[in-house]
Amino acid sequence: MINIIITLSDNEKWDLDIVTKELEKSGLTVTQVLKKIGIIHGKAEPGQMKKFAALRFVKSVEISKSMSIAPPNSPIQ
Amino acid sequence: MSTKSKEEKILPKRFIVTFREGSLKKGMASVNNFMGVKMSNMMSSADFDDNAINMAEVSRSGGVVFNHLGIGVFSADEDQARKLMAGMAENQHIMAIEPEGTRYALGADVSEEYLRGFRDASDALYEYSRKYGCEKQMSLLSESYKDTNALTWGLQATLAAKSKFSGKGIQLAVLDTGLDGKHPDFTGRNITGKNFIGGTTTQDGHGHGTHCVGTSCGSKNPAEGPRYGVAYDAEIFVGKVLSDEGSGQDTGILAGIEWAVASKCPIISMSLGSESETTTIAYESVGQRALDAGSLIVAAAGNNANRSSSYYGYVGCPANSKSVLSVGALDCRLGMGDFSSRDTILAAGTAVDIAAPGVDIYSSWPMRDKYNTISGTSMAAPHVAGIAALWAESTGARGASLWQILIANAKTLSHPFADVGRGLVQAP
Repeated sequence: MINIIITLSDNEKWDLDIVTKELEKSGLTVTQVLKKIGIIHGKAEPGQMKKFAALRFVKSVEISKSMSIAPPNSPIQ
Repeated sequence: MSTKSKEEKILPKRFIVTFREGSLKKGMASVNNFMGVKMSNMMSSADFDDNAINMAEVSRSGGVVFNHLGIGVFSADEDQARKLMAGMAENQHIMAIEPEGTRYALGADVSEEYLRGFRDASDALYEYSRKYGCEKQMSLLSESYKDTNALTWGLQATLAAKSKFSGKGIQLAVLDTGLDGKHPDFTGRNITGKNFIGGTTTQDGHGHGTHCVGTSCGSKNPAEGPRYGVAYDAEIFVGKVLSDEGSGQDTGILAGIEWAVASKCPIISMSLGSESETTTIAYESVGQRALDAGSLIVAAAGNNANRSSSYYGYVGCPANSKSVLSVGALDCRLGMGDFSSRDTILAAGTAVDIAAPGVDIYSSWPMRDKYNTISGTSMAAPHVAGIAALWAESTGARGASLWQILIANAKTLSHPFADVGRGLVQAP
């Protein structure tokens, strides 16, 4: 399972109950719904990403990546 | 005497009056009062098809009002203009009155004397560049700042130290490693915190977050040393999206943005990024949705350049999003930070939008060190975020309007646009 970021389509008033249910039906374990910015986080197998992308209210399906900054003793941060 | 100069003598001069926002009607009454211009002589853009004013049809004794622009052009003799100028100083409805200028197409009627002067100046600059090199020339022409007992160089260069605004009433979110809750410089401040990495505290065990909060929102009167914070009265929202080891996930950062937008923070400062030449649809979309909701995301361009070795890097994610304001780093002579990323990708959104102090930046650090001087575009972004709070306070602007104000008021630098965008951020 990988952490997945679903971006909902633009210019729509998302019915988040329906959106969440349809994503779960397609195999996503929803972990977080960010309603102000139209993002849904979840976990799934990589092979399932295409299924999510095909849903009508989905703009993109991306894998969550990590970010990092330099250690505290670095002169450049 | 030519026909043109005859006309100039005969025609009354015209003046352009700029009215304050929403003051067109009252401002017009003032014009009427001071200049004796009759409203019946005035024309408005609504009198013309498609609001396209034909100046030839405008009465020479009156003038015309551009309703959508909030300006008027009035014919006035010297006495009338003098009266209006005198009355303007105390008039709250009029922003400015200026004589109408004449513009000429570039290249037309250029005198030999002008061209000779232009040639001589160009030759002198060319020789100077050959002798000293362009970089040297830029550095000689630029200003120089240093930390004093009272102020860091960054607050001086950005004019934040002279601003009468403090960020009062503005919520500023810093998504980073947290804030040291024991630091004396933040005692008594209005601080709201939230952890997005699976813990419960926003305590900073790294230092990066405390430094960034310090630059953007630090005290006007710190416990010791110079003042280093810009928006000293702003409400601080601390989102811990990076661990004490300095790492975090996109999911935690996006959750932090959601929290800041829902908390109606006009500014979200993010001194973080990944080494990715392209952005994600998620960050691009979220940046735009935040702007639409009145929240401006400010992000560090990145530290992946090594300019002294002729490597200029690229702007990292999420600063390389069209909807995120990307910040490059300057040193105290307004030269580029050696590490500051350049837009070498040259795609939509990958630009550096603005620059700010980011080399040898003194700010708060977790106790017991209390203070630390470090460098990075991470230090430049909070300067811009704090100054955005000052503009948000002074103008009421939010979202894309606030972005535009920051860009429009930046100070032009001699560096390529790909390094510093529009220039050095300036406080109101």
